[in-house]
Amino acid sequence: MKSIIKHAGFLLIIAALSGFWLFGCGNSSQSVPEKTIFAPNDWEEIVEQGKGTSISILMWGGNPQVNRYMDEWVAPALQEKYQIELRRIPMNAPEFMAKLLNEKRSGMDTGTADLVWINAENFRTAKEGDLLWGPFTHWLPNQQEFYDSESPDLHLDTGVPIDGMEALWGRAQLILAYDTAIIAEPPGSYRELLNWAKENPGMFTYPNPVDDFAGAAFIRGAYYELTGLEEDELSREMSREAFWEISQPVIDYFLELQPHLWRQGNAYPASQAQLDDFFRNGETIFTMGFEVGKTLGMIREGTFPETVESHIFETGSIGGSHYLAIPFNAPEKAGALLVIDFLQSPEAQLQKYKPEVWGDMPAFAPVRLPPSFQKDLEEIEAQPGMPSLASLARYRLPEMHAQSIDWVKNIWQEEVGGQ
Amino acid sequence: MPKAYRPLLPAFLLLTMLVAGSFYLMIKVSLADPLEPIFSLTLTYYQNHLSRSSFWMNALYSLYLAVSASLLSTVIGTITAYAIATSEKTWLRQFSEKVMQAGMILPYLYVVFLAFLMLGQAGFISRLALMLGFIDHKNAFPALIFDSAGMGMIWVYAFKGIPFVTVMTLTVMTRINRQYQDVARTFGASRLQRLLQVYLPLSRRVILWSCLVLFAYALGSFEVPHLMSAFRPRPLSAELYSLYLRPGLTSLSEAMALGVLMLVLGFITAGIYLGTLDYLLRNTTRFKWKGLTGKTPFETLWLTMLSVFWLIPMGYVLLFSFFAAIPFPELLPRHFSLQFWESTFRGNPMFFRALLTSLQLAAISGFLATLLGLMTARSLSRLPHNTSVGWFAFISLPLFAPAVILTIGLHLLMLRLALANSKTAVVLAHVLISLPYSTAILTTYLVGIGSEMEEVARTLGCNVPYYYRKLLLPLLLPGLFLSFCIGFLLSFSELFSVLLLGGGNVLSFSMLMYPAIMNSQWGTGAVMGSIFLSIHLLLFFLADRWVRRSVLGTDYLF
Repeated sequence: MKSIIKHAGFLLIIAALSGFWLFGCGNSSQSVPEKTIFAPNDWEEIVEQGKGTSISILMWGGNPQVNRYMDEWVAPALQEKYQIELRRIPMNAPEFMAKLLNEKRSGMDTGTADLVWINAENFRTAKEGDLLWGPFTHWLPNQQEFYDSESPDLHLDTGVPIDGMEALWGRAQLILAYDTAIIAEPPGSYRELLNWAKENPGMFTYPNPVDDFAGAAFIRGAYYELTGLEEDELSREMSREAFWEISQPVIDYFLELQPHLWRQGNAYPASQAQLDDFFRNGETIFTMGFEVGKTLGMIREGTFPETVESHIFETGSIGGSHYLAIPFNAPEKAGALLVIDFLQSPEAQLQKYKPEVWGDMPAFAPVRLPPSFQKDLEEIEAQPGMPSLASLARYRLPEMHAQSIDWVKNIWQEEVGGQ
Repeated sequence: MPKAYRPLLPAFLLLTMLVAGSFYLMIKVSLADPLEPIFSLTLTYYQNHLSRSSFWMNALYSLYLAVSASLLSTVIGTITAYAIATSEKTWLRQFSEKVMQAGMILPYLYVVFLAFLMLGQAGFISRLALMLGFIDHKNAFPALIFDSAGMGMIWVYAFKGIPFVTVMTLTVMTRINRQYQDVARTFGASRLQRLLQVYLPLSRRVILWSCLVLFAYALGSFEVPHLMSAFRPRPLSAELYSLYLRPGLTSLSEAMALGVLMLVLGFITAGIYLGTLDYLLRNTTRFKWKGLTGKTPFETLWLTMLSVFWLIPMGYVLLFSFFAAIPFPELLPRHFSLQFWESTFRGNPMFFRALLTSLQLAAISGFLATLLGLMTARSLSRLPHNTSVGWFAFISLPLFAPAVILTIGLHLLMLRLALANSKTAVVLAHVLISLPYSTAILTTYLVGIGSEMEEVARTLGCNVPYYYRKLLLPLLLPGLFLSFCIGFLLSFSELFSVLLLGGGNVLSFSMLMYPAIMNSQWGTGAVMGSIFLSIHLLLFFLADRWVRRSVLGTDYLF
């Protein structure tokens, strides 16, 4: 017994010593040098400083089409135009958010990321946590020239004021996909879907809205059809009680739908990717997603049969926009601005819109484009299976207030999912 | 300083720094209000979790899953190891050992996918039943995934866990002197009795330890529950991952608090659980039931069945790299194409760079973990029993921390040490994760070798380097290789630590492989999975051959 005490005592002493060494110096964050301030005077100065830099962009890497677009088209073009070396780093938003939060906490003033692909609640968190550098959108020549400054998504991202802290990169819309070989006429609204699900029990479900972006948008879409409120009423700020009250028809709807869902609604797919798997495997006959060109891409790859088609409810579908932002500790801010401006340019946006490339909706205002670009746009839209910007815009629903978006998830979790 | 600690010191300093440092920072984050610029203590996050009515139910559910998965894997794994160790058919023995190694290598995310393919209502078994007319609609097939009994999750854990227990237990069972076996047989002991009287008592430690690893993993891992669990009850780790995914300044603190609670819960229950198992294993010799007498071809049957059970799903991974889909309700795939192989090799400029980096990281971490593991194991085998167990519990702490939480703690630590965003940080993290494995493997070997030989050598005037070179290292060789292979495998499969600690400066193979699987890109995912599997099978194969060449047949440890 004595020897045990001796041994344990020895180990404790060593542990304490190394602990002191490690934590004795305390908050090292306060001793770091003042952060180098980047404050350009004009765009020429930015171009001057940004040329020849190496830029790291952290972005979700789950879509090979997006990856190829960045690696094979954007990177060489940037190399040629500005001699910029673009390094795409596959990293999901939760990871880079944790990274930036930790770096902020530890006072790391020169990070490793120059750009992040971000939107919605992650943007809100990043903005609240002071994780972004800016405002910067007033510098961007292409946005000033070709974008519609009245467009709501240049001012609000899922209800959060942008204030020049992120630049619009593209637009997407919640789109369903189904197999025409199995159903001839898909339901055209949430109400029709309920009837359809009653006749075809177990064949429909949506991704768990607590963890999945598409699933959450699917729930929000129901508010526009079922609450009887106008679009601008939903985007206004509301009290918690008021929002709970207007949610009642939506709660009732999803509770009524639940027993007719896949697995009687006892379980939901964890993500839209998992729903895609179920769809492909024959467990469900609908899937949904946010990329306009996704269905077409999956068909070309052979993953979906050729009879699969895209579908939007006539009562509208939630649109989402995605953005680019510069972290507070980006080492090359000038170069990052050049990359953003290039990605916003009409050439880059048109290339991105091609269904064989990515199929992501362009962010510019078509009327502001020079005629040559307008012709290119028409050519892309003329392809079979490609929904036109105008038709998508007709069904596109605006976003609700940011706080309400959070509440929708909470309400679903408390009233529907947990039941 | 006690002499026994000398070899322990470097490992001890590194470990104390990493484990104590990251755990300190984890706890600190869970106690801090992130909205305040200066640290201000708050217990809100802990209170939030503990006051939820679902917390204890979900905790119990997590424990249920972890205990049933680890127990099932341990029992079947031990029987399999025994069957392999005592089978008379050399080819079957070698073949099933390879299959078990492959099963251990396959990443969890693949196994989740395989579970859907096999057990889903539109899966392989359901389709087979449909075709044979056992059921008339796919919904008549029982819900094995997303069910409240957690069958799907337990299947996944067992699919990985059984091979793990088998491979680990085999390290001891193949080195048990066959004379015991022969003596026991001469006295008319049945196969079951030989297992209970000879094999189990000798391999007790390694069995317990494998069971502990599986228990800790099943409790803390989030990929499997996130992708496969229903809402109520929901394992704690799935809740934790949900918090991690949710953007918000406070959600990380909430996740950390839950992580710490899970850690405490896991550590305490693991003690009780393993204590009970240990008691049972110590008393197997009292068990009198005979069973399995005579010449029933039990081993052959068992091993053949098991190999088939593992090979069919694994064959599917390869199949998917050539075919885009297997439409319902067919059993065989359609549309053969090489597009996925082509686009992986040719269309991806990052592929070879990432592969090279991962090989490098894995080799270094495997080597360092083995080296540190050897030092630690040497010291542990000389310390008094209780100190040794305490110390081992300390280095096993990282096993109990959910990966996301541990990585965030390590990231904060590396930022303090100015090591963040470098390969060094990534390697250190991987060594930390692998060290419990390498220490356990090498301790098993050192216990088997015993101290008599060293004493004899010393009495005969042999110096330490000579003893290492001529006696200890050759006897340890299989253990050193196994420890290296496991370290290599763990490092190669890591994702979060590379993302966070490498911070974009380190591009690994897993950063290309996991997004493909997570986002339903099964063609590309299957190609990467096949490459992953073949690299590791090759490594195990080479290690096996080298061991066989350099070690004679008489290296019995017990």
